[in-house]
Amino acid sequence: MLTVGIDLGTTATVIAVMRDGVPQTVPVDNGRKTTPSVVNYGENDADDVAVGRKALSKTDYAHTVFSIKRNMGSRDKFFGKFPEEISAEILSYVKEVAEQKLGDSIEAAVITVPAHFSDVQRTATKRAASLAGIKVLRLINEPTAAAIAFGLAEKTNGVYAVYDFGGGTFDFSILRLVDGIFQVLATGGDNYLGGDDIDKAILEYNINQCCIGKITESERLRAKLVVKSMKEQCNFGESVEKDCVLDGKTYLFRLSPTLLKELSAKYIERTFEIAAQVFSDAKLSYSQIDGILMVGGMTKMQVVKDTTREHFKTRIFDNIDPEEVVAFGAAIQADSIVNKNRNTLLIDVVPLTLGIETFGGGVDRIIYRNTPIPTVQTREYTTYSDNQTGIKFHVVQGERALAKDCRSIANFELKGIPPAVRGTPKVEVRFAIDVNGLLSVSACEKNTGIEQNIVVEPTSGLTEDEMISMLESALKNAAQDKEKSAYISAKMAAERQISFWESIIDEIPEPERNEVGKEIEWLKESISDDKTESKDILSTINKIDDIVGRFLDDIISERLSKNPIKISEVKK
Amino acid sequence: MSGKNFFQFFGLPISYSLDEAALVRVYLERQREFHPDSVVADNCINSCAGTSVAELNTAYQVLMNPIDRAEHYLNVLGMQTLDQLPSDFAEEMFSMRQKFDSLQTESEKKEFCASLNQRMADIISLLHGLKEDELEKFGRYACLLRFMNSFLEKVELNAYSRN
Repeated sequence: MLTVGIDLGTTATVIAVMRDGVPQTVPVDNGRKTTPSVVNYGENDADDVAVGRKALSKTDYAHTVFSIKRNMGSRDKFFGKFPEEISAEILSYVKEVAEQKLGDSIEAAVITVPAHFSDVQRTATKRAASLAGIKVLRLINEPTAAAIAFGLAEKTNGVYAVYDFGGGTFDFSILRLVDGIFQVLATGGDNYLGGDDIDKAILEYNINQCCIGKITESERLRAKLVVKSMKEQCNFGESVEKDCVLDGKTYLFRLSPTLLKELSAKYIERTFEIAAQVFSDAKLSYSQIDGILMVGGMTKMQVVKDTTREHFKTRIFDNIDPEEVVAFGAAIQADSIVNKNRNTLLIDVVPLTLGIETFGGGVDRIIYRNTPIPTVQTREYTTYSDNQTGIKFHVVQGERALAKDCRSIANFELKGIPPAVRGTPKVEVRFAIDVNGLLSVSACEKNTGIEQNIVVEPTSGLTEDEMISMLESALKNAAQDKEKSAYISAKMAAERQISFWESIIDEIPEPERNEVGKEIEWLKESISDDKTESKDILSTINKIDDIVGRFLDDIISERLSKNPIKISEVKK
Repeated sequence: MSGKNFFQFFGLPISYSLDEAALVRVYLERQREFHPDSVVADNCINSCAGTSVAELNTAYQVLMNPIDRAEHYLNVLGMQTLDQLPSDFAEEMFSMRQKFDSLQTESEKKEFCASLNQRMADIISLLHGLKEDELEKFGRYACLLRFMNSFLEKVELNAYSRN
């Protein structure tokens, strides 16, 4: 049984495991460290699912899902699947291949999420893991995971910032490292800011330059892959030209380092704005930190590194592969949780303010952003009218003044309040955020002591019923898969045995010879029709074995007497 | 929160002036002791540990925040926090609101927030300078601070929402 760390990224997924106290990436996708977070559903058969490079190799991009992480927690469906299910395909794939490579089954994992992921997005991630048959030990924030990996490698105390610029999301966190304790001081980010945006900008620029009209979504995806590889080449300081076939015509796409810098400037500037807010939340100035850890695929870009160094005028750390570092941290944390290692400890924070919608559509802020977790806050509410027996609540998350501008988390209704004059019932609502950053709510009427069981209905993402039915079908599929592999091994065993039995059947006396012959015929039939259950095949194998076994010793000694074993010359 | 003494909880002297380094040190030591990840125990004790870490986090946050700390300090010394702004401060808050409403440009508003922040920092340093027999004055300024903070929060939130 293994525990691993998984970085379920927007563009790529990485799985790592601890080996002799050192985190190591498990090469999953054709021996590569990263697996593209891409899923292809077969054009004619939706059950024909391909993940990673295999999905990319399919040319029907119209059936391929990219960057599903951006839709986590939404109710959007792609090819009839929810984002949780699509993410689960990616997780199942890396789990399965990693298990083969490691020669052991994976029981549990620490999975990373962007620091500013809302409660709904975290819940969706946890559910994706359940669907993939992975027990979530802990959800941890990506920048924090990166800091853990750095901290373990550097072994230095101090205050560091983590600049995490990935394919689809940006996170900025400031942490204090004290003797193995990682205390997050403040965090912030943008769910919709990443390398994808820069790729898009480069693509739009070239579409304009080449005067290309409207193109289909699947052509766009193909063109984006061309642009992405151009961006990577351009990073080495050379101008790149590449042919891109769209709608049967060939266009020449161009990208120069200067142009790349110009096109990415707007997005890099936005990352600095977010960083400034985080510094202000942590009540720190740029000069008070000991350095910035560079994390995420985008920080491989020289322009990102240079601009960041210049902007903050501090040391930057880029010595651990920015694509692996998050998975490393997750693996270290998984190991430390399982072994109750007191040397590493993580104190993370709530990324977004959690509140309740007020009567006028504003927000009553209950748990402020950057509050250390776990945390519990209580609020007292009362009734607006006489004999009111229920109160409705709308839980939202975000930094905006109006509830409608924040992310809707859940609705719940408190029922069974004893009838009373308005304003007299005292209902204490308890909001708790656990170490995974997940919210739970409970309530109690203080005058009567009546406890309320609150059913929190998520306002987006999957409902509990949908989740249960999905889990059931996942379990059924797993059972089917199990039956499938059992069938294959039974079939192989049968084939091996049949050739052996046939080689000796003439030496078995009647009536057993006839009986064995009949059973062998049945077995031959049943392994070719793919309909017989593996347990029937196995029981028949055992039955024949029993009969043959009674004569086996005799047959072998008879054979030996006729054909004495020749001892061949041993070559040295 | 009433009835609890967070200064005592962290082994710190009951004083508005805070030895931040000492607070952080004790806070992290306690985390190592009580955090669910480092508690070697079964699930039951684990969940109990979760609650006490939540309390530890609350205590730490209250002391780290100069406004919450001021109110907690008053409570510990047996004083009630004021719900209503003392009359001599009401005028200052009123003219402040009026001034903000008259502002037109973003830069003017930014400047206003900066000066409000400065005024709050001045009040905090004034609180640090007050002696133990000036508790009533301390309470009045702590209340002003709370009102100013919620006003600033509202102003900043509205500015943020427009973006």
